[in-house]
Amino acid sequence: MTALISFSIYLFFVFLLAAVANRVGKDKSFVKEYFLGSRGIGMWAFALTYAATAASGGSFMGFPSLIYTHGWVLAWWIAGYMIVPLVALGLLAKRLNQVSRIAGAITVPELLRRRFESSAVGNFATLLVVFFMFFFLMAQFKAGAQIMATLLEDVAVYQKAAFAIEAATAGIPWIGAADGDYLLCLIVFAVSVIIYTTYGGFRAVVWTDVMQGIVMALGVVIMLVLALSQVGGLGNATAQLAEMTPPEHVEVVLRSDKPSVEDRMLKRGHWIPVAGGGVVRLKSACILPAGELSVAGVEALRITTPDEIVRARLLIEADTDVTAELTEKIEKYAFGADKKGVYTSAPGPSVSNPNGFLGVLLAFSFFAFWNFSGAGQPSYMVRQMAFKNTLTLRRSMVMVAFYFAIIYFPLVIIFTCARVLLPGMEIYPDRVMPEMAAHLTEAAGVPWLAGLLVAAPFAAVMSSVDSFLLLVSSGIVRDVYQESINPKASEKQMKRLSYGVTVVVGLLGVVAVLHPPQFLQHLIVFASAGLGACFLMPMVFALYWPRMTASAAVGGMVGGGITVLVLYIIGFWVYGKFEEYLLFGLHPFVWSLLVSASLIVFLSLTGKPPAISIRDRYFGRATDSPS
Amino acid sequence: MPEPDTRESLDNSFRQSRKEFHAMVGCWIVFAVWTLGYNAIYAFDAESSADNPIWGMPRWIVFGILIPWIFALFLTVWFALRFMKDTPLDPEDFE
Repeated sequence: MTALISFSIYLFFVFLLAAVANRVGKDKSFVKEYFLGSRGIGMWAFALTYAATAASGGSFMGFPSLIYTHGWVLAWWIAGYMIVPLVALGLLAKRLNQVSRIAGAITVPELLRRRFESSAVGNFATLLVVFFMFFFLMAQFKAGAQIMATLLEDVAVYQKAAFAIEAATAGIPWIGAADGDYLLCLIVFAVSVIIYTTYGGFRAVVWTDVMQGIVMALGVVIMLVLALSQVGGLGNATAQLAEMTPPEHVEVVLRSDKPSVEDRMLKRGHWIPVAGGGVVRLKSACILPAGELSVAGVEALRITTPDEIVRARLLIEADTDVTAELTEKIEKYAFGADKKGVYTSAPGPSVSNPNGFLGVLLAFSFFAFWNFSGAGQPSYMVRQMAFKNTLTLRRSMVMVAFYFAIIYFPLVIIFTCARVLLPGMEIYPDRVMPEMAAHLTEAAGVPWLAGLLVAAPFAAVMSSVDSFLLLVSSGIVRDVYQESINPKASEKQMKRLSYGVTVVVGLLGVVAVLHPPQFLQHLIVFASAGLGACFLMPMVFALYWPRMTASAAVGGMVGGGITVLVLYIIGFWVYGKFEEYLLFGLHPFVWSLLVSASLIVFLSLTGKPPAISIRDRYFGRATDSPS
Repeated sequence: MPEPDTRESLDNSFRQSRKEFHAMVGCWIVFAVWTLGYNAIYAFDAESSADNPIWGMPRWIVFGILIPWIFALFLTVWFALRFMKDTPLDPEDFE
């Protein structure tokens, strides 16, 4: 409950900032203020809004779950972030800001439309932003709802409300199939973000990002200290990880000593001793029917490391009379089963890939992915269009570099410690962050601090959702309505439409995420790859190559996006789940860049050169005439 | 077909930005080669991966990730504060 109070205080400040931002922006041009903060973003705001948007729900929910599942190798997976502040910010920011000012553009599609003087370029860009950004929104909504569910799970009022919602929606198609607690949290989270984003616009988003960025950094530092002290030092954690072997997914028969008079519910996450030694954790809730002594076909996770078994047995409820009997249905890890040292070396254990989690080519793909996909995200590009001057940019790069260094590497340390402190979290890996926050603060005797620690990933999620929400609505309002439908729309009309579209897009995101895929990180990587594939190469060439043509811009965007889509569809077809297909071991993003760049160069060189007026406008004054 | 843009015809700030662009790509290549090259050789030895740890971490993490990360941090500071130049952003400020 104390955690809930501190968390509520945090939320109060978020709304307060939105209200102040709304007042500050009142006297300025609505569209420019609402979507770009009137291009007046200073160093602190620019650096932290950039960093906070980058550190999304993926960083604080999906990334920790991967560290927990695969071990130290995740430091290599994320290593590209060492150079992200230099590459992702420096690669485009200066030119992007300059060209957007020359063009008078306030959105990415608008910039491309004006740079090439082509409506087709702008329309394709809008379409692709809205499509891929929607997957991002879905992932962030799911992350936000999950964090709230963990925070509130022991609050009586919440449990009653969740039950009531589940009962009320039971007969409604699509909505009724969602869990009551998840649905409640999703609605509360989505409504909060939609309100403050709609009310405050870009300035509110930036200001809340600043606060959220500070909360995230504080949260990580506190968790690092608590984790290291509770695990007995990093050396101890690494030594224990080196002895660990991956768990097994098993099917068990649960047996009780005596039949109960009514149905007996065994919750998901329940620890059960195994007859003959060992311990399993239930992967989903199950019911031992009244009068029965056993129930078969129960899915569970079997711990295989002796030290972990000892710790897990302490978590078995004292009065339990249920034991598990293993059946022949045992699924071992495809790579790393029964092998020590897999959590402290590459490629890391993998449930499904017999070559392990991270090979050299995939590591290369991610080293490129974090940098160049980061540079190619429209949500970051918009921020790069908003800073005041180049001095702001240069100082912000330094700040972001330090910020990422104190966020990402410590997260790897914290969640390798989590492997030791929290056994059996493979049953719901995306919940490892809030569970770890609760565990660390309770063990340290400061449960109220869990509110702040959980606020860190929540802040990450909120700061990303608000940006994406604004980006999608700006695409629709500015790039579709104002550019193509009603160029003479008044300030009042634009204001009403912007508010309306932000709300509608948010609500559509909620509906779409009622049944999300299991791993958050898959959605996030897909959306990042898709956006990077569509926009990085077209934007790089648009800013640095005067010879690029409008048809090449369309070809580059569409070619990049389709490459990612096709490789994901093949992945779905081959693996039967939402997963990318690694052609020759490389991530689809790398292939998409090659396709996109090749198409741009080919179509530009074979097409008619752009008008001299365009070249002069964006690349400087010509001193000679083209022959 | 002759390239219509001569180097001299381009605005100074554009040329400066392009120079910085090339330098950044060069930096990325250096760090990619360091981390990928070192780890490709030393990160895959499961049996001795936790032997002789440094600061509680496997050695390959320290030499293949942490140290390049520290170098990258200092490089970013130098690049942003020394190598990058301030250029005008508004059209009316161009030379």
